Amino acid sequence: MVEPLHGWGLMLLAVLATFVWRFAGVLVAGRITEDGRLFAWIAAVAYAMVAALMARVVLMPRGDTAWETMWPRALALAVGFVLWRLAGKRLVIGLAGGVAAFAVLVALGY
Amino acid sequence: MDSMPDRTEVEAEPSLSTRAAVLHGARRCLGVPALGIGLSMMGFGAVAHDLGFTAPQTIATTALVWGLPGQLAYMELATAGAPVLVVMAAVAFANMRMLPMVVTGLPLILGGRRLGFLARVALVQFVAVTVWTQMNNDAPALPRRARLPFYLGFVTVLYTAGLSGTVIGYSGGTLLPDPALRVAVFMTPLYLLLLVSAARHPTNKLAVALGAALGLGLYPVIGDVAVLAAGLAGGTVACAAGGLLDRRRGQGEPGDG
Repeated sequence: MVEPLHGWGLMLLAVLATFVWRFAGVLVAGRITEDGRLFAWIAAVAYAMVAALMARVVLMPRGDTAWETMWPRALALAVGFVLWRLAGKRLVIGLAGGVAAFAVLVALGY
Repeated sequence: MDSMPDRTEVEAEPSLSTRAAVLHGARRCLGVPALGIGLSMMGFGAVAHDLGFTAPQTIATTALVWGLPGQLAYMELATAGAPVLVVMAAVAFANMRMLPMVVTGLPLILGGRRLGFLARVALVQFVAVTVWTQMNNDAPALPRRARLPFYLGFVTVLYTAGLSGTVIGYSGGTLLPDPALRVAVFMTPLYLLLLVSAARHPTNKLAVALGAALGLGLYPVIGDVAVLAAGLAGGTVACAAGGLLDRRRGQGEPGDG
């Protein structure tokens, strides 16, 4: 079982460690204008962070970096992206294509 | 999955009542976003159960942290008996994306409304990757007054799905056989990757490509810090390149805020 400090006390500190970013975000948002270069940079960083996290989660969901577990995911991701582009960036097409491709690979035992 | 979101349905509505905007946000969440968060949090609930956390603690972690990488970092390190400061630093690193997401997401959510400081702080407690991505995609097509109610409708469904998933995962495992679960869990990151790839501004498009490439390249080397490094490096390079592109086109530089 988990120690008392590693229970509620530590959990609240973990909550605080997330809260500070959201709190700081409100402070910063109130001080910069939406059409400034600083805002544009922060937006680009946010896009890059979300893309970095999601690319990792889609290919290495449990942090497993072995190519044997990664290639079916990479292939399905590629199928989804190519279909999305070919279909004029229709999200439903890319999503359905990628998920279907991965489902087939999983059904085949990969 | 019969109500898969599609951008065209947003643009069809010229003006929305508050009630209609709340319902519209809720409907946009039902389907891929809610299912994705529900399944992710089911996985989290199952992990928390296996690590020996109590049910109230597990639910409170989802409810109050509301950011999966930080939630997992907290539970794994707390169980390993890591020092308090190490746990806090790891959670802070894992959830640092909340800062740029709130800075850029809050104006989208408010749509020009003026709200008190505490109300704004309360609002952004629900900001996370899914809702930030969806707001960036949907908000520009919504009437400005409809954006806050849309956000509230969306996060109400998302939060409910996340908490339900946590409870289900904690109490009964995952409901789905493993192969089906793997396919279902594949859906959310693909959905969000496609949504951010549809970014309108060329700088943000470039940031997505660089962030994904750097994130994948750095993760095997530096682990979870890769998100932070890829975000800062990818975003900065994309911004610099975007600035050069604007200057070559002879457009005026946007003023500093």
